[in-house]
Formats: sequence, structure tokens, C-alpha cells
Amino acid sequence: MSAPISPPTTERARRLRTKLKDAALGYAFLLPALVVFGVFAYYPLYRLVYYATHEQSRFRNRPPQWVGTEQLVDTLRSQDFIQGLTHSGLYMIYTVPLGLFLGVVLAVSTHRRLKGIKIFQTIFSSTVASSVAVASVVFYTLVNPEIGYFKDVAWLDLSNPSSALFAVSLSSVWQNLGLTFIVVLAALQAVPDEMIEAATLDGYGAVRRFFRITVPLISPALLFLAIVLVVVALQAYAQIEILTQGGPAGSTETLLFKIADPRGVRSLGERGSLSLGLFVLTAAVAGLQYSIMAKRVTYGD
Amino acid sequence: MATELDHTSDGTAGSGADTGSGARDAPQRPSGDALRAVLSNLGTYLILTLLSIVILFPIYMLILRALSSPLRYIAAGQPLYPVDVQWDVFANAFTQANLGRSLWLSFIVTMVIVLAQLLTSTLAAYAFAFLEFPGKTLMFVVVIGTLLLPIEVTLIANVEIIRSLGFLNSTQGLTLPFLATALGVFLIRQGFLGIPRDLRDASELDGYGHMRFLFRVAVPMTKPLIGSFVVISFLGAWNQYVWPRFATTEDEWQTVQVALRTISSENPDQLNLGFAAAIIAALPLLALLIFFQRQIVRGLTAGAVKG
Amino acid sequence: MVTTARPSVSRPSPSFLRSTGLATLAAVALFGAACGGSDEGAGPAGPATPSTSLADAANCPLDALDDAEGVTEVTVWHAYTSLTKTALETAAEEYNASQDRVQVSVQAQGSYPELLKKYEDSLGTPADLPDVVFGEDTTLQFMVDSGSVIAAADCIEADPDAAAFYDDLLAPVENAYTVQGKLWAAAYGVSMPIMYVNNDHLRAAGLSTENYPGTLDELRTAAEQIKAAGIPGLEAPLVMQLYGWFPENWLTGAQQFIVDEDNGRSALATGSEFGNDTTAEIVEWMDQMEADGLLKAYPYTSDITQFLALGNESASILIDGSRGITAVDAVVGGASVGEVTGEDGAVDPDQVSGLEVNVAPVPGVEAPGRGGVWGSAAFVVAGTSDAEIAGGWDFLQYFNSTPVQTRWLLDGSYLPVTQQIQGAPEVQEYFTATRPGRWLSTVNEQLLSVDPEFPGPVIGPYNEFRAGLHSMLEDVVLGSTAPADGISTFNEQFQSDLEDYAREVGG
Repeated sequence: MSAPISPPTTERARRLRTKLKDAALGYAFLLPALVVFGVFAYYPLYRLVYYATHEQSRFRNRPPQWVGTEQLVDTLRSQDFIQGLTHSGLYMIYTVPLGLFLGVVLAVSTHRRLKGIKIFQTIFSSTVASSVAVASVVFYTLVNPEIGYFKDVAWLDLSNPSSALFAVSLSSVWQNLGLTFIVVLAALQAVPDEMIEAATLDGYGAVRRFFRITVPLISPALLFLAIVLVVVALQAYAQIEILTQGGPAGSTETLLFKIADPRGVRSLGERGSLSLGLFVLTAAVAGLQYSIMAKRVTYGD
Repeated sequence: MATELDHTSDGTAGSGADTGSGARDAPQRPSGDALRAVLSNLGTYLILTLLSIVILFPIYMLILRALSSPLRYIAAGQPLYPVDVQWDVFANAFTQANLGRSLWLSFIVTMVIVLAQLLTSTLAAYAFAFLEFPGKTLMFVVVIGTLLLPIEVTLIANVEIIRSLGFLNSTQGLTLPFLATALGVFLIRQGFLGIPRDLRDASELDGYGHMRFLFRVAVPMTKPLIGSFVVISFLGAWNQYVWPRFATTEDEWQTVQVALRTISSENPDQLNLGFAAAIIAALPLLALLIFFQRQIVRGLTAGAVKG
Repeated sequence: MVTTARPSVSRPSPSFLRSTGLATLAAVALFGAACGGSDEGAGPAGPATPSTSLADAANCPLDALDDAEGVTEVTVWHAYTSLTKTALETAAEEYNASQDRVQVSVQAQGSYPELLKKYEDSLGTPADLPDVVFGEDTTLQFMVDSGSVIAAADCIEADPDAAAFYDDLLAPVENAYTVQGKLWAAAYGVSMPIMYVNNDHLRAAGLSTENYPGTLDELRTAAEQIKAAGIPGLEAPLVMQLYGWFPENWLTGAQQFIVDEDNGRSALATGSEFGNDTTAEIVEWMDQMEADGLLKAYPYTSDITQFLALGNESASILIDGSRGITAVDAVVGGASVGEVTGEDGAVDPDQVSGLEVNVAPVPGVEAPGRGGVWGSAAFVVAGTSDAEIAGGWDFLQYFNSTPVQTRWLLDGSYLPVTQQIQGAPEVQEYFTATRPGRWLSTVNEQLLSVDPEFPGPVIGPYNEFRAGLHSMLEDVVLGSTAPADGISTFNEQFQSDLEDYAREVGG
């Protein structure tokens, strides 16, 4: 682009004007999103801190009173929070490794040229059409203590505090199958033929081929899935509400369930403190995921 | 699945032969190999069928229980076939449980959220990709930061905000917190960044302002990625449970996911009603999965798999 | 639905505070005259301890309805399901059709705890509150302390026509909803725990079907005999939900206080009396029964799984509420011949269940049928307009009329609360003509034998109490916690909740 010959100041002025226009336009374009983020993400964070540091009567018969960090610290040290944290963590442990494993098994089993393989692929991906609520209702027919088809299976017992959480988490595992299958299959399909053929020619057996070639090549997809599954596990709520309503004996109450508190047993200050705890947990998980991703990226992908 | 199976590969132990519409340039096999091939495929088919049964069994149970009269079904010892089929349970889900209204509400809310997210994300992504402004990095961090503040964390504060705005039990209440999303900004920005520099320069030469460039060049060029985002956004909005659950206190403002729970708990003596409602609620997504398979697969794998 | 933005009540700015300071001085002078709701968002402060045993008609502005222009819209919140829900909705529809001053809209709010929570959450924004709320029994204390409801006594003062109904109330019902001398609830749905028994199983075990077990010990003995009889398909002789209501009923029946201050009736309860010997006895009984395979216990949910256990004969005896009568009747096979005959007039064998189930007074700690009056009750909410208060009261009086109450009884399996309803011909006929009716009449006898001088507890921090109690029962009975540990941990928490509550009420 050749600039017309003009005095330097006009040129600079024009460039400055363009820059200002760009900046204004930039902020104008950003504004809608920023407003939403400000009002519904950042302002709530401030409100959470407010709730955690104030005590408010359930009757709203007087203004909230400042209590400092006492309530926050007490809540975060309480059995309630630790239990919530534990159950959320367990939920992740129950759903993520199993989900990845099953996804890989399903994808690998249909990653072949076979007549009618597409039908199986559609079947395996079908649970992606199920929402959390639907999956929960589906599992209700399977594990409900009186009418469930598998009600007599001990390790699926919804009325036993030691097995209830696992049974609930299975509904998530089932629901996640579609997603994990689709992603792993796509990743498998992206593995270049030549590498497999080269490995076969080198005398690699099928198992060795799988673990030495395929798995590393699909590992970005597996990592992506792991992140998604962890996030999904943290969001678990509907399953708990529909299947056990938090029981028995609070053994299926994840942190989110305690925050949501559908039966109104926790004060606003406690729930605000728990929310801040969840915030820290979310940040920690995100940080962990980010550092793993960053490491992967530096190894060239 | 619509994504073509364009690579053959045997990730697991099994026959080294690829059968079916196999390679034409392979030499003729001796009949013993062919027999082995068929048998081992039989094994694969068997395993695949077993896996399919395991995955589909829960759905089958749901259909079974929706169709059967609840008491009779239990009395019959919970067999694997329907007992005393009540075909009108599906109609009842609409008349008794107002499922129609919930479905419609879910649809409206989802559409509003998807369109709004599309708009706000595209605009913001454009700003990050093509515009320079002071504090750009800071703004980017602000957007990233919202990933640490999902609705689960901010739930109780947002409920109070919506309540104080008077938007409890309203479309505004159901959609406002979701009108923008960082994920959308990232994805679309990624797409915009992939537009070759030459194209940008050429457009500038042609006198394209930013708006024109955005709508005439940038968006069309990133259609696939935007399509992927629409899929993700749609699925996310349709499947929401926690927010609609607590942003509404009246039955008639429940979206379909929340309505599923209410239908079951408000009609404990008519469990088949709740099951039928769940089937109906799953149909829209199922239909979408069948008709938009490719887009959905692409949407879900965006960011996961290169290429 | 309010669409204007309203400042969050919990964040007053300095200039706001200054001007409210002046306004408050003026308001205090007028405070004595108007005890109704304020519109600022904070409910009127203070517990009910200042002497309010004198009913004050000024609190209940019933004339507002006559003065109101146009149609007054009244919202009713409840937590009913299935038939009971339809019964309430039908009553509302008929009321709407019968006059044109008030339009009632009935809204289900989930379960009782969810209803209470939504109500509590709305206290800060009175426009979100309903005009009438059908709350669970012991949430009475919360309603009183919230300052958001108007005592029925006040409205009765203002409405002489209503006196007939309330004077006719059975004493235990009236006392159940009276706190510190004042009647608070305006309409009622009375139910009680009851025992359903499968006579066939009892006979098979060699037990009498005339004299049912009357105490917990007798129930245990009977269960042991039933178990020994080896009935095919039986999982455990007794089935029940781990519902806090049952121990509360047993404690009340044994005249054991659950909280101090006369179970909260004479003043706000601030101390727990839950950790007593009777409680220990009850919880140990439940734990042992379950451990010995005599009791199948389910965590408390809104399901009817326990009815199904009775229906498919995996249990012989069910302890549950009298409200379940219509459902249990349906589950064990309808009894009225009309439903059972097929088109050709022959009796359809598939319809007639072989189950001969009967209802008996619930066994008590010391004697059968002892307990309290429970269920749900309707309160008139102070609301945002006087016309709505008047409209709500008007609807409730319609609801209390004998024809509506009769249907309430038939559909919801509730009990007749006044002498007049007790004696209504339709009710009397129901009590003798059909099986569920006969069952209800047994419960009715149980109701008539309740000691009116010992109503059950009223507990302020109600949701916390129930949730904690359920958790404790699940921990002890379904888990491995020892009864004494479970009770003492729960009791500590309950005591602390009571103290927090008292502090919040104090303002």
C-alpha cells in the first residue's frame, strides 16, 4: 500500500484516527460479552465473598452483619465441606478413568472395515443424545432400590451409603459413552495409515502397535476428553437429585449439591463459603489441566 | 456414523486381514485363511453385539417401563417384555404434565442462548483477532477468567441477582447469564486467526471496513468452526439442568430437563408417566443426531482432534 | 411478575441509611397500630413473644376485598402430589367459577422442604411470596417467626361467619396449630402414621388378625414370628421409610418433649430435648430390627417404593402415613366391586388381588395409636395487598366448607377436622362402604383418641432438623453408626441450629 505524499503530521494524525477508531470498535465489539461476564460472572464472585463474610438472618428481618472470615474458615474446615469435596472427587475418580477406558474400547472395536460397522457406530454414539436428566431417569429404572431392575446388586445399592455414589456415577459414565466414543474414534481415524503399516512391517504385534503407536497419537484427544469429563463430573447435580436426592446419609452429596441445597438446610453464608471452595477447586483443576496441556504442547504436536 | 471410515487399522489383536470391501490388489487367499477370517469376524460381531446390548439395555428398560402399567409390571416380577401396555401414557405426558409447554420453553431458551452466544462470541473474537486496542491482553485474561466462574460456582449469587431484577420465572432469567461464553470467543477467534494475512490485506485494499470484512469474509471462511460452536452451544443450552432448576419457582416455567424430575416426583403413583416424558424429551436430540450427525461429530471433536 | 429493577435489600447506601433513620423514628410511633407486613423487603422484626394471645382483627383486613376494583389474584403454594394435588386444584377451579372477585391459581412447589426453602428465599422480596401457603405441620414455628403470615385467630375475629367452623374444630387439631395461645393455621389436612398389615401373612405366621401388635416390642415379636414362618418372596416382615415423622410421632405419643418450652408451644424453643431415653429406645429398636433382617428400611423420598413392597408381598407390615391409604389400596388391588367386574359382569380375577390388607393403629412406644396430629395446614400470607389477604381468606373458607372438605377427605385420605365433617353423611358412608374408607375410619378413631393437651413439637429450624434426622437415621440404620453416637451428633447439631435460629429471630 503506497501512501500518498503528504506532510508527516497529517499522516500520523490519520493513523492515529484509525487507531482510535479501531480501539473504539474493539471495545464496542467486546462490550456485549464483557457486560454479560461482568454482571453474571465477576459481580457474583464479589457477592459470594459478601455472603461468606456476612451473616444474614433467614427472615431477612435485619441487614446482613459483617462477620469477617470466621464463617468462611469455619465452613471450609467443616465436615460438610470436606465431605462435599470428597464426594466430588470420588465422582471424578469414578467417571473419568472408566469413561476413557470404555470410550477407547468402544472406538477400537468399531475402528475396522466390516459390513454393518456403521450401525454399531451409531449405536455406540447414541448416548450423546441423552441429557443428564434423561440419563438419570433411565438409570432410575435400573438402580432404584424398590423398582430398579438391578436393585438386588450389592455394589449398585442406592440405599447403602457405601455404594450409592458409585451407582449414581454410573449414569454419568453411561451418558458420557457417546461423547468419548465419538472423540476417540475420530482420533483413531486421524492416525496415519503409514505409521501402522510401517510398524507392522517392523514386526510389531497388534498390542505393541496399539500401545507404542496408536495411544501416543491419540493422546491429545484423550487429554481433551479427560478435561471435559472432569468438568462434567464437577457439574453433576441432576443425577443426584433424581436418583438419591443427596442420600442416603448424605453419601451422594457433592459440593455442588450442598451449594444448591434444594432442601434449604444451609444458610446463605455457608453456601457462599462453599461456593468459594468450589471456585478454588475449579481453579485448581483448571490450573492442573493447563499445566498438563502446556507440557504437551512444548513436546511438539 | 457419517464420518467415513477412511482409514483401516487394526488396533487390537485379531486377524491381520481386512475383510469386507477389502483391497482388490491382495492376492487370493487360501480357503483356510478365508474361513479363519469369517470366524474371527464372527467373534468381532459377537463382541460388538454384546457391547451394543449393554449400551442399549438402559434405553430398552426405559421404553419398557414407560409402556407398562407400573403396578402390573412389578407384580409380574419385572420381566423383559411390556406388561399391560398403556399407549395413552405418551398423550398423558402432554395433557397431564404439560410437557408440550416445557419442550417449547426449552426450545425458545436454547435458541435465544445459541443466537446470543453466536453474536457476542463472534464480535468479541473479531476484536481479539483483528483489532488492536489498549488493554487487549487484560481483556483477554478477563475472558479466560470466566472459565473459572461457571454457573455452578456462581449459582447462588446469580439466583439472587435474577431475583432482584424480577426475572425469576421468565425467559430473561433463564437466558441472561448465558448470553456470552468464553469458549465461543476462543473457538471463533481461533478460526479467525487462521484466515490468511493476504486475504485481510486484499480486503483492506478493496476498501472493506471491519464490519464488511467480518460478515463478508471472516464469518463465511470460518463457517465449519462456527457450525461446530453452534452444536456445542446448542447441546449445552438444551441439556442445562442446574440453572433452570433454581432460576424458576413455578411449574409452568420449567424447561424440559427440569420438568422430567417434577413429573416423576409429582406423580409417584404413575411412574410410567415420568418414563414416557423422558423418552419424549430425548427425541429432539435423537432426531438431531440422526440428521446432523456430521456436524455434531465435528462439533464435539473440535479442539480434540487435529484435521 | 415484577419487571422493574429493585435494589438488593442487603446493600443500603449511606444516604439511604440516613433517610431511613429519620423514617424509622416516625415509624416506631406508628408501629403499635399496624402489625402487618412492610413493603421494604424486611419482614417485621421480632418473635411472637410479646403477648399476642389476644386476636387482633386489625391484622386481617377482610373489607379490602369489597373495596377492591377488578379481580384479585391469589396464588396458593403447596407440596401435594397426585390425587391430593388434583383435589386442591379442583377446589380452586370450582371456587373461581363460583364467584368473580377472586381468581385463585394453585402452584405446586415440589416437596415440603423445597416449598419451605422457596418460601424462605422469597422473604426478602415479598412480591415473590404467595398469598396462601399449605405448609407442613411443624413449620408452624417458622411461619409465626417469619412475621409473614397472619394468624387465623385475627381473621376469625374479623370474620364472624367463620367462627362456626373454627369453634367446631376437634381439640387436638386446634391445639396442634396453636402457638402461645393463638391459632395460626386457617385450613388443615390432617394425617397420622398408621400400620398396614397383610392378614394372610399374619395368619401364616400363626398371629391373630384381631389383635394387632400394639407396641414396638410386640411388633418385633410379631416380625420374628413372620420371618420364622418362611413366607416365599418375603424380604423382611416390616417395611418403612426412614422418615423423621415416625420417631416424632412415637416421641409425642409417649409424651416426650422434643424441644423445650413445652415443645415450643409456650415460648420460642431454644433447647433440644431430643437426646432422651425414649429416643434412644426408638432408634435402637429400628437399628436392631434392620440388622436382624426384620425391617427393610428405605431412605426418605417422595417415592412410593414402600407401598410397592407391601404390594408385591416382599413385606407383611408397612408403617406409613394415612395419606397413603388410596395409594396402598390401589397397589394391593382395588376393592370396590365396580372396578373389579369386567365387561361381561364377571369378576376379573386379575383385578382382585389376593392380598387381604388391613389398617391398624400404629404401634406406640407404650401403647398403640398414641401420637399427634400431623399433616399440613394453610396459612394466610401477609402479602403485598390487603385485597389479596382477604381473597386468600375467602378461598380458605370455601375450602373449609363441608362439601369441599368431604372431597378433600375422599381424594387425599385426609381426616375430618370438625364435628360437622365427622358427621357428614358422605363421610360416614365412605367410612363403612369401601375398603379405603374403612381404613380411614380406623385412622379416624386414632385421631379421636389423641391427647389434645400434648400436641407435637413446633420447631423453628425445621428443614435442618428433618434433614439432620434423616441423615442420622440413614447413618445408623443403613450404615454402621451406633445409635448413641448418631443421636448425640445429631442432637449437638440440632441444639446449635436452635440457637442460631433464636438469634436470627431476635433480629
